[in-house]
Amino acid sequence: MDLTGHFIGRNIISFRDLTKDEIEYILQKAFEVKNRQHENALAGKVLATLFFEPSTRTRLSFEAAITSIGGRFFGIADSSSSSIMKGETLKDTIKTVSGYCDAIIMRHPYEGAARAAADVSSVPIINAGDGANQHPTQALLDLFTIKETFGNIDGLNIGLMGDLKYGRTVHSLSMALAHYNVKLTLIAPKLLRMPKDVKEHLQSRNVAYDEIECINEECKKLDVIYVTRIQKERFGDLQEYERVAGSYKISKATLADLNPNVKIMHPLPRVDEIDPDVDDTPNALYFHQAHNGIPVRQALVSLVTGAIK
Amino acid sequence: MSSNSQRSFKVYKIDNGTVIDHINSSMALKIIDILEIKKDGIVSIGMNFDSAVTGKKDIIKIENVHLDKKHTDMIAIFSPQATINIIKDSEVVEKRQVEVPKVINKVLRCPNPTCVTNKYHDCDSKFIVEHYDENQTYGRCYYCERETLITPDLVK
Ligand SMILES: [Zn+2]
Repeated sequence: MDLTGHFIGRNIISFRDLTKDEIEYILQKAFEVKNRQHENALAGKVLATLFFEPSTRTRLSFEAAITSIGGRFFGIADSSSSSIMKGETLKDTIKTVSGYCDAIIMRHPYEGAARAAADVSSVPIINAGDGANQHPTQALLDLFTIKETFGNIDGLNIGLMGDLKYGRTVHSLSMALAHYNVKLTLIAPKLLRMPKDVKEHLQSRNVAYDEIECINEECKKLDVIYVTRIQKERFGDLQEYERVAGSYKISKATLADLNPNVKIMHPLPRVDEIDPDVDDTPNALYFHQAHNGIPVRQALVSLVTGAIK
Repeated sequence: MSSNSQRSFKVYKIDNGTVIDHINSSMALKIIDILEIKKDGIVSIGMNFDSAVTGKKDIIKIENVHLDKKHTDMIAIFSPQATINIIKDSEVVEKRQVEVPKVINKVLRCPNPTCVTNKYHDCDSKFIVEHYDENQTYGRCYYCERETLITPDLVK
């Protein structure tokens, strides 16, 4: 299927909107960008980065992505510091700002904000996180990293570990992986298991998955373990937290019991769920993963603005 | 025609307008809400009539307004057995069933408190109906993407 020019003017809001062909096309363009086939693609383009809640990491990644491929940006780092939003509705802000730029990258504390913005925007909206809902560029860079590392996503055994209940990242990633022929192992304490509707989505896509409470013998088959943080606040009982949290940490000792080639991924920032002694092992993929946010975001911004067809 | 349904036509006989019959008992007021017809002409409500189909039923009559299918399909969310009678010159000129709509705009509120539709007055709600049976309808919020069982308390 030829998707040349297909993304011009498109909003990137949610994995629910993306077909497998579209995902593959975005990844292919990201590989081209990483191979320096599209240098200066964003020359002459102006992007707005509207962060209605602070997320320094994601904002810096977008801003570095835009400038290093020739684009310019203006934006806000959080809504409290900017007068433009004082007393103004989200829609009015978007109607105004969309007249100043070629696309808007936005993060917002409320679920559905990016979709609401897209309803009124005259330029494409890229969702950089809407509350607990979606963060599609994170899941795209996760897929990109897996594909780059293994050459293929089909056929892999992938473990998702930690807070699978509230973790937006693992929900988006699960929806993305549901397009592929993978086997998932969901590793989480009872309290923080994957929500029913995500599991139903996996079933509807015929994705095989196991649910276990901690790393066991079976996990030797895993090619990837995607780790997310378990927050203390999720537990009413701190003693319960102390009891379970240790089971969801990766250290050199944990690695000794796993597939020697297993890759450890994490959306960052980490706290203590991955021991720093893992950083220097060939298993650690998380910093490389974060760096891949650059070509993936460059490809996306370029595609929706027509800078890359 | 049974004596019960004759009675409802006698009590609520109109020459021109729309009669919504076989509404699940006690849902009439909610249905007036979702149809947003309060200002649309004379609206009469009959509640707790005996019904062969549902045990008890409610009836709504709107004089001089002919509701179209798109409008009345909203009723199916809470009363899938309701029937619509369009009346002109004292004759029933059209009788139809209701079908659960694919999209429900504006009339419901999203149960997610941090959904954008609950935070800005200019963001109307919108639900995409994903599946339903005689007893329940599930919709996904178009904005926050959460799936929810649509219940009468979600009517604004
Ligand atoms: Zn919602």
